[in-house]
Amino acid sequence: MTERTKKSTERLIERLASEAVPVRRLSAPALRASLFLLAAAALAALAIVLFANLPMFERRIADPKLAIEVAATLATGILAVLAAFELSLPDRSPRWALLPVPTLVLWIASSGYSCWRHLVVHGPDGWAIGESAQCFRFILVVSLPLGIALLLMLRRARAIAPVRVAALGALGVAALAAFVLQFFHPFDVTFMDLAIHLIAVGFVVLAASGAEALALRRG
Amino acid sequence: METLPAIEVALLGRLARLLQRRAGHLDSLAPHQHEGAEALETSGEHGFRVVRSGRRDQRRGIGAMGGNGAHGLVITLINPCAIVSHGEPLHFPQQRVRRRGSYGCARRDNKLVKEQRWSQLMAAAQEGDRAAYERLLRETVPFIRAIAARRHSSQDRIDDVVQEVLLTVHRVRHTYDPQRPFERWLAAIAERRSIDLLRRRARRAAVETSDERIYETFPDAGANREGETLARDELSRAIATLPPGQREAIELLKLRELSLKEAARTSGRSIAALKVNVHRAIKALKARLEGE
Repeated sequence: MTERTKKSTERLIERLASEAVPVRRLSAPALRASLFLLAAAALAALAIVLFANLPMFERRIADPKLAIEVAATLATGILAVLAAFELSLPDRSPRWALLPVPTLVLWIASSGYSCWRHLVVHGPDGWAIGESAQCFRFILVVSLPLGIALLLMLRRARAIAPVRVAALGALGVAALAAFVLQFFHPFDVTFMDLAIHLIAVGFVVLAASGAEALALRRG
Repeated sequence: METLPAIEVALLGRLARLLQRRAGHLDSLAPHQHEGAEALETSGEHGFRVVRSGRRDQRRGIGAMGGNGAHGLVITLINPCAIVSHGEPLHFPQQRVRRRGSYGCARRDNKLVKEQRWSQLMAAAQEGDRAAYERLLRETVPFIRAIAARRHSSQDRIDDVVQEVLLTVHRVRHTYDPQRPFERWLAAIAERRSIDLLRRRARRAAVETSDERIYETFPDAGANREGETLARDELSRAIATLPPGQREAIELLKLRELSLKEAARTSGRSIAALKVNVHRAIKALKARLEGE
């Protein structure tokens, strides 16, 4: 180390030490993830009780394939949020990012299967865009406030690799939004619907990670 | 003391003898436990595990311990620092230990002490203890430098990483959990910042170029072209001294950049003659300019 940089490092250390005010330690990431999920669950429950067509949902969920799909969507949301909280801390293994992958694959596979079945039964009509535009809007609209709330919670950790965290968080909220959507979804999904759901999820993930990457580059 | 990953000890004769000689004084073993091979089977709590093994180990010189020549013994060190004789950690000759981690009892012991100290200092810093924080930052600089040096070779860049890491540590110090290892936390930050600096450099290198001459410039644009003018003059003079055929070939083909066909049409010479002339001219110019 040259004399000059040694001095500047020394000065930096002195400056940082002089600014060392007491800080509040972050609670365990699992605890923080649970808090967020509980709050999200409370809001979702309220919306479902007030607006959802529950008898219709009960009829649809009786189909085990749909049940698997809905469970996989919910699990993806929960696991991605948990992974985002874990990865927001510096010393966590990057392998946390893989946590939601199995359920994500199950979700895509099971809804893909439903679509294929729909296509076989309904023929070319299966390609039609159902009420997907509405779904797209729904996923975006629900993801936005959830995402902002999650972002605010995640930001407390000041992640050192924020793009990864933002991508996982966005996957989490988008999956949660897609899960809530199932309660308001009166029809079977077509190929286009699935594509629209996934595009919406991908859009949320890309937008969040892109914004984070941009902020990082500027910062 | 925390349990470290087990390492195999190649029980070369010397280590076996050492353990055998000292076994009577191993504080962590009850006296009856080292009377025979059977009795020497111990659990990992004592810092090592001794089990009987077959002849294969014996052939490798894994010696007869506990007076039982029929059985070799395999000693697996669980935590060398926990093996205590007369109140002192038992010293293992390092070269005899086939390492699967960084060992050497004294070094490992120091490392653990350092790790605990850093963790305590950081916990104190989180409470606002400035002296502890300053000491911690100072002590960690060589550790951060070592990590930065894995990816960067220039001292300047290593220093940049060190300073970035110190700033990041300051910003995220509330994320450290004193229940977890401090070194891993710090190493993750240092690693990330080293990579960030590499990426930043790559990004910058993609859009910027470095030209040293750019610093040697004058306000008058013409003045900066002095070198170019000199070179051009010199070249023109050299061309003027060439025989007429060669001079014409150079002018048409190299200065006016005509094609061979066009040059042949303009000069009325054959393409082959032009080629020969231009070749000779370049040779002559080279000799002349280099010779000066």
